[in-house]
Amino acid sequence: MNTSVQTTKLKELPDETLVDLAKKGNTSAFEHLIKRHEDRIYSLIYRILNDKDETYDALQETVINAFQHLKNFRGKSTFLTWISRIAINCALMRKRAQKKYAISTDDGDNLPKYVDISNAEHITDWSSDPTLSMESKELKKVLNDSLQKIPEKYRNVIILKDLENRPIEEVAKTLNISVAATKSRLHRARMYLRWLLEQYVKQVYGTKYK
Amino acid sequence: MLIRCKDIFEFISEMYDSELEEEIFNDVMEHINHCERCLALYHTFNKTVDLYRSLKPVKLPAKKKRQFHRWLHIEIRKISVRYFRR
Repeated sequence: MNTSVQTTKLKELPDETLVDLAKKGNTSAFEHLIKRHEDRIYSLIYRILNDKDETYDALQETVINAFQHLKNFRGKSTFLTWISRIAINCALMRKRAQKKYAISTDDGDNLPKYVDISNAEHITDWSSDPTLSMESKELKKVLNDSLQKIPEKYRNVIILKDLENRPIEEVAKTLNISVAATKSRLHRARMYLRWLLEQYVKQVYGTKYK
Repeated sequence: MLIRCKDIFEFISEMYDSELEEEIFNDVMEHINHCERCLALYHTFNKTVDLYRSLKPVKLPAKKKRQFHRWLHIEIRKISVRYFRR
Protein backbone atom coordinates (compact mmCIF):
# COMPACT_ATOMS: atom_id res chain seq x y z
CA MET A 1 0.00 0.00 0.00
CA ASN A 2 1.42 3.41 -0.90
CA THR A 3 1.33 6.67 1.01
CA SER A 4 -1.59 8.05 -0.99
CA VAL A 5 -4.14 6.16 1.09
CA GLN A 6 -7.06 8.46 1.76
CA THR A 7 -7.23 9.85 5.28
CA THR A 8 -10.80 8.67 5.61
CA LYS A 9 -9.67 5.11 5.01
CA LEU A 10 -6.84 5.30 7.52
CA LYS A 11 -9.29 5.08 10.38
CA GLU A 12 -10.34 1.65 9.23
CA LEU A 13 -6.85 0.22 8.94
CA PRO A 14 -5.32 -1.99 11.65
CA ASP A 15 -2.34 -0.75 13.68
CA GLU A 16 0.10 -2.98 11.79
CA THR A 17 -0.76 -1.37 8.44
CA LEU A 18 -0.65 2.15 9.87
CA VAL A 19 2.80 1.39 11.31
CA ASP A 20 4.02 0.20 7.89
CA LEU A 21 2.67 3.35 6.23
CA ALA A 22 4.17 5.60 8.90
CA LYS A 23 7.56 3.94 8.46
CA LYS A 24 7.38 4.92 4.78
CA GLY A 25 6.79 8.55 5.70
CA ASN A 26 3.00 8.75 5.86
CA THR A 27 2.57 11.20 8.73
CA SER A 28 -1.23 10.97 8.58
CA ALA A 29 -0.98 7.24 9.33
CA PHE A 30 1.14 8.01 12.39
CA GLU A 31 -1.33 10.69 13.51
CA HIS A 32 -4.14 8.15 13.31
CA LEU A 33 -2.16 5.65 15.33
CA ILE A 34 -1.56 8.18 18.07
CA LYS A 35 -5.16 9.43 18.09
CA ARG A 36 -6.34 5.82 18.39
CA HIS A 37 -4.28 5.24 21.53
CA GLU A 38 -3.83 8.74 23.00
CA ASP A 39 -6.34 8.32 25.84
CA ARG A 40 -4.77 5.09 27.07
CA ILE A 41 -1.25 6.53 26.84
CA TYR A 42 -2.31 9.72 28.61
CA SER A 43 -4.02 7.78 31.37
CA LEU A 44 -1.00 5.53 31.84
CA ILE A 45 1.38 8.49 32.15
CA TYR A 46 -0.97 10.34 34.49
CA ARG A 47 -1.08 7.36 36.86
CA ILE A 48 2.68 7.61 37.19
CA LEU A 49 3.06 11.39 37.39
CA ASN A 50 -0.22 12.46 39.01
CA ASP A 51 0.12 15.92 37.46
CA LYS A 52 -1.77 17.11 34.37
CA ASP A 53 0.86 19.52 32.99
CA GLU A 54 3.70 17.04 33.48
CA THR A 55 1.56 14.34 31.87
CA TYR A 56 0.87 16.47 28.81
CA ASP A 57 4.58 17.22 28.38
CA ALA A 58 5.46 13.54 28.79
CA LEU A 59 2.79 12.61 26.23
CA GLN A 60 4.38 14.93 23.66
CA GLU A 61 7.81 13.53 24.47
CA THR A 62 6.48 9.99 24.06
CA VAL A 63 5.01 10.77 20.64
CA ILE A 64 8.25 12.35 19.39
CA ASN A 65 10.34 9.43 20.68
CA ALA A 66 7.95 6.93 19.14
CA PHE A 67 8.06 8.62 15.75
CA GLN A 68 11.84 8.93 15.77
CA HIS A 69 12.31 5.28 16.73
CA LEU A 70 9.48 3.78 14.72
CA LYS A 71 11.96 2.12 12.36
CA ASN A 72 13.15 0.01 15.33
CA PHE A 73 9.65 -1.33 16.00
CA ARG A 74 9.67 -4.88 14.62
CA GLY A 75 6.09 -5.78 15.47
CA LYS A 76 7.02 -8.42 18.07
CA SER A 77 4.48 -6.81 20.37
CA THR A 78 1.46 -4.64 19.64
CA PHE A 79 2.01 -0.96 18.88
CA LEU A 80 0.22 -0.08 22.13
CA THR A 81 2.59 -2.27 24.15
CA TRP A 82 5.60 -0.75 22.41
CA ILE A 83 4.55 2.86 22.85
CA SER A 84 3.45 2.18 26.43
CA ARG A 85 7.03 1.17 27.20
CA ILE A 86 8.24 4.49 25.77
CA ALA A 87 5.56 6.36 27.74
CA ILE A 88 6.55 4.68 31.01
CA ASN A 89 10.21 5.52 30.43
CA CYS A 90 9.39 9.17 29.65
CA ALA A 91 7.20 9.41 32.75
CA LEU A 92 9.78 7.78 35.01
CA MET A 93 12.57 10.05 33.75
CA ARG A 94 10.44 13.03 34.71
CA LYS A 95 9.49 11.53 38.03
CA ARG A 96 13.08 10.74 38.94
CA ALA A 97 14.03 14.30 38.13
CA GLN A 98 11.61 15.53 40.75
CA LYS A 99 13.27 15.47 44.15
CA LYS A 100 9.94 15.48 45.89
CA TYR A 101 9.29 11.95 44.62
CA ALA A 102 12.71 10.58 45.54
CA ILE A 103 11.25 8.59 48.40
CA SER A 104 9.11 6.49 46.07
CA THR A 105 11.83 5.43 43.64
CA ASP A 106 13.63 2.89 45.81
CA ASP A 107 13.90 -0.71 44.69
CA GLY A 108 11.16 -1.95 46.95
CA ASP A 109 13.27 -3.80 49.48
CA ASN A 110 11.19 -2.24 52.22
CA LEU A 111 8.03 -3.93 51.00
CA PRO A 112 8.25 -7.34 52.72
CA LYS A 113 7.34 -6.04 56.16
CA TYR A 114 4.06 -4.76 54.72
CA VAL A 115 3.47 -7.74 52.51
CA ASP A 116 4.30 -10.50 54.96
CA ILE A 117 1.54 -10.34 57.50
CA SER A 118 1.22 -14.10 57.77
CA ASN A 119 2.33 -13.91 61.41
CA ALA A 120 -0.13 -11.19 62.35
CA GLU A 121 -2.18 -12.29 65.32
CA HIS A 122 -5.29 -10.47 64.28
CA ILE A 123 -6.58 -9.04 61.00
CA THR A 124 -9.51 -6.68 61.09
CA ASP A 125 -12.20 -6.94 58.46
CA TRP A 126 -12.94 -3.36 57.39
CA SER A 127 -14.09 -4.33 53.90
CA SER A 128 -17.78 -3.64 54.52
CA ASP A 129 -17.32 -0.18 55.94
CA PRO A 130 -19.84 2.03 54.11
CA THR A 131 -17.36 4.89 53.97
CA LEU A 132 -15.22 2.90 51.50
CA SER A 133 -17.37 4.03 48.63
CA MET A 134 -16.06 5.28 45.32
CA GLU A 135 -18.50 8.17 45.65
CA SER A 136 -16.10 9.58 48.23
CA LYS A 137 -13.66 12.10 46.79
CA GLU A 138 -11.48 11.70 49.84
CA LEU A 139 -11.18 7.97 49.24
CA LYS A 140 -10.24 8.52 45.59
CA LYS A 141 -7.52 10.90 46.73
CA VAL A 142 -6.29 8.36 49.28
CA LEU A 143 -6.16 5.66 46.60
CA ASN A 144 -4.28 7.90 44.15
CA ASP A 145 -1.88 9.12 46.84
CA SER A 146 -1.22 5.53 47.90
CA LEU A 147 -0.16 4.68 44.36
CA GLN A 148 2.54 7.33 44.60
CA LYS A 149 3.92 5.64 47.71
CA ILE A 150 4.67 2.30 46.07
CA PRO A 151 8.21 1.72 44.75
CA GLU A 152 8.12 2.15 40.99
CA LYS A 153 8.81 -1.44 39.95
CA TYR A 154 5.65 -2.49 41.80
CA ARG A 155 3.65 0.58 40.87
CA ASN A 156 4.12 0.08 37.13
CA VAL A 157 2.69 -3.42 37.34
CA ILE A 158 -0.39 -2.43 39.29
CA ILE A 159 -1.03 0.58 37.06
CA LEU A 160 -0.93 -1.51 33.90
CA LYS A 161 -2.76 -4.57 35.25
CA ASP A 162 -5.36 -3.26 37.68
CA LEU A 163 -5.90 0.34 36.62
CA GLU A 164 -5.35 0.17 32.87
CA ASN A 165 -6.76 -3.34 32.69
CA ARG A 166 -4.05 -4.79 30.44
CA PRO A 167 -3.61 -8.59 30.21
CA ILE A 168 -0.78 -9.98 32.37
CA GLU A 169 1.23 -11.10 29.32
CA GLU A 170 1.07 -7.57 27.87
CA VAL A 171 2.15 -6.09 31.21
CA ALA A 172 5.15 -8.44 31.24
CA LYS A 173 6.09 -7.47 27.67
CA THR A 174 5.67 -3.76 28.35
CA LEU A 175 7.95 -3.92 31.37
CA ASN A 176 10.30 -6.44 29.75
CA ILE A 177 10.08 -8.91 32.62
CA SER A 178 8.79 -12.48 32.87
CA VAL A 179 5.14 -13.29 33.50
CA ALA A 180 6.16 -14.96 36.78
CA ALA A 181 7.97 -11.80 37.93
CA THR A 182 4.97 -9.71 36.89
CA LYS A 183 2.61 -11.86 38.96
CA SER A 184 4.95 -11.73 41.93
CA ARG A 185 5.21 -7.93 41.81
CA LEU A 186 1.45 -7.62 41.33
CA HIS A 187 0.83 -9.73 44.43
CA ARG A 188 3.21 -7.69 46.55
CA ALA A 189 1.86 -4.38 45.26
CA ARG A 190 -1.71 -5.40 46.02
CA MET A 191 -0.74 -6.52 49.52
CA TYR A 192 1.04 -3.23 50.11
CA LEU A 193 -1.97 -1.23 48.90
CA ARG A 194 -4.19 -3.30 51.20
CA TRP A 195 -1.90 -2.40 54.08
CA LEU A 196 -1.93 1.31 53.13
CA LEU A 197 -5.71 1.32 52.89
CA GLU A 198 -5.91 -0.38 56.27
CA GLN A 199 -3.76 2.38 57.77
CA TYR A 200 -6.19 4.95 56.36
CA VAL A 201 -9.23 3.15 57.71
CA LYS A 202 -7.67 2.75 61.14
CA GLN A 203 -6.54 6.37 61.19
CA VAL A 204 -10.00 7.69 60.36
CA TYR A 205 -12.04 5.12 62.25
CA GLY A 206 -9.45 4.01 64.78
CA THR A 207 -11.75 3.25 67.66
CA LYS A 208 -13.97 1.11 65.48
CA TYR A 209 -11.20 -1.05 64.03
CA LYS A 210 -8.65 -1.38 66.83
CA MET B 1 -4.33 -30.52 49.97
CA LEU B 2 -3.72 -29.27 53.49
CA ILE B 3 -4.04 -25.51 53.47
CA ARG B 4 -2.37 -23.39 56.15
CA CYS B 5 -2.78 -19.69 56.82
CA LYS B 6 0.55 -18.86 55.13
CA ASP B 7 -0.73 -20.54 51.94
CA ILE B 8 -3.61 -18.08 51.80
CA PHE B 9 -1.14 -15.19 51.75
CA GLU B 10 0.60 -16.84 48.82
CA PHE B 11 -2.52 -17.72 46.83
CA ILE B 12 -4.68 -14.68 47.46
CA SER B 13 -3.71 -12.70 44.35
CA GLU B 14 -4.15 -15.72 42.08
CA MET B 15 -7.53 -16.31 43.71
CA TYR B 16 -8.58 -12.78 42.87
CA ASP B 17 -7.60 -13.30 39.24
CA SER B 18 -9.38 -16.69 39.14
CA GLU B 19 -6.13 -18.40 38.26
CA LEU B 20 -6.09 -21.08 40.94
CA GLU B 21 -6.86 -24.64 39.93
CA GLU B 22 -10.37 -25.59 40.97
CA GLU B 23 -9.25 -28.27 43.43
CA ILE B 24 -6.84 -25.94 45.23
CA PHE B 25 -9.39 -23.12 45.13
CA ASN B 26 -11.96 -25.31 46.87
CA ASP B 27 -9.45 -26.30 49.55
CA VAL B 28 -8.45 -22.68 50.05
CA MET B 29 -12.09 -21.58 50.39
CA GLU B 30 -12.71 -24.40 52.84
CA HIS B 31 -9.88 -23.02 55.00
CA ILE B 32 -10.99 -19.40 54.63
CA ASN B 33 -14.52 -20.17 55.67
CA HIS B 34 -13.24 -21.67 58.92
CA CYS B 35 -10.51 -19.13 59.69
CA GLU B 36 -11.61 -15.68 60.82
CA ARG B 37 -8.17 -14.16 60.20
CA CYS B 38 -7.89 -15.45 56.63
CA LEU B 39 -11.49 -14.49 55.92
CA ALA B 40 -10.69 -10.91 56.99
CA LEU B 41 -7.61 -10.88 54.78
CA TYR B 42 -9.58 -12.32 51.87
CA HIS B 43 -12.32 -9.68 52.19
CA THR B 44 -9.99 -6.72 52.69
CA PHE B 45 -7.66 -7.82 49.89
CA ASN B 46 -10.54 -8.20 47.44
CA LYS B 47 -12.02 -4.87 48.56
CA THR B 48 -8.69 -3.12 48.01
CA VAL B 49 -8.19 -4.44 44.48
CA ASP B 50 -11.85 -3.80 43.61
CA LEU B 51 -11.46 -0.17 44.68
CA TYR B 52 -8.32 0.36 42.61
CA ARG B 53 -9.84 -1.34 39.60
CA SER B 54 -12.84 0.98 39.83
CA LEU B 55 -10.67 4.08 39.45
CA LYS B 56 -11.66 5.35 36.04
CA PRO B 57 -9.08 6.02 33.30
CA VAL B 58 -7.89 9.61 33.27
CA LYS B 59 -8.94 11.37 30.08
CA LEU B 60 -7.14 14.11 28.22
CA PRO B 61 -9.45 17.13 28.71
CA ALA B 62 -11.26 18.16 25.49
CA LYS B 63 -9.51 21.53 25.21
CA LYS B 64 -6.10 19.96 25.76
CA LYS B 65 -6.95 17.23 23.26
CA ARG B 66 -7.64 19.79 20.52
CA GLN B 67 -4.37 21.52 21.39
CA PHE B 68 -2.59 18.16 21.28
CA HIS B 69 -4.03 17.31 17.86
CA ARG B 70 -2.87 20.66 16.43
CA TRP B 71 0.59 20.11 17.88
CA LEU B 72 0.68 16.51 16.62
CA HIS B 73 -0.22 17.54 13.07
CA ILE B 74 2.47 20.22 12.88
CA GLU B 75 5.25 18.58 14.91
CA ILE B 76 5.20 15.19 13.19
CA ARG B 77 5.39 16.83 9.78
CA LYS B 78 8.33 18.97 10.92
CA ILE B 79 10.21 15.94 12.23
CA SER B 80 9.29 13.94 9.16
CA VAL B 81 10.76 16.55 6.80
CA ARG B 82 14.07 16.47 8.70
CA TYR B 83 14.01 12.67 9.04
CA PHE B 84 13.15 11.64 5.48
CA ARG B 85 15.45 14.20 3.84
CA ARG B 86 18.54 12.75 5.52
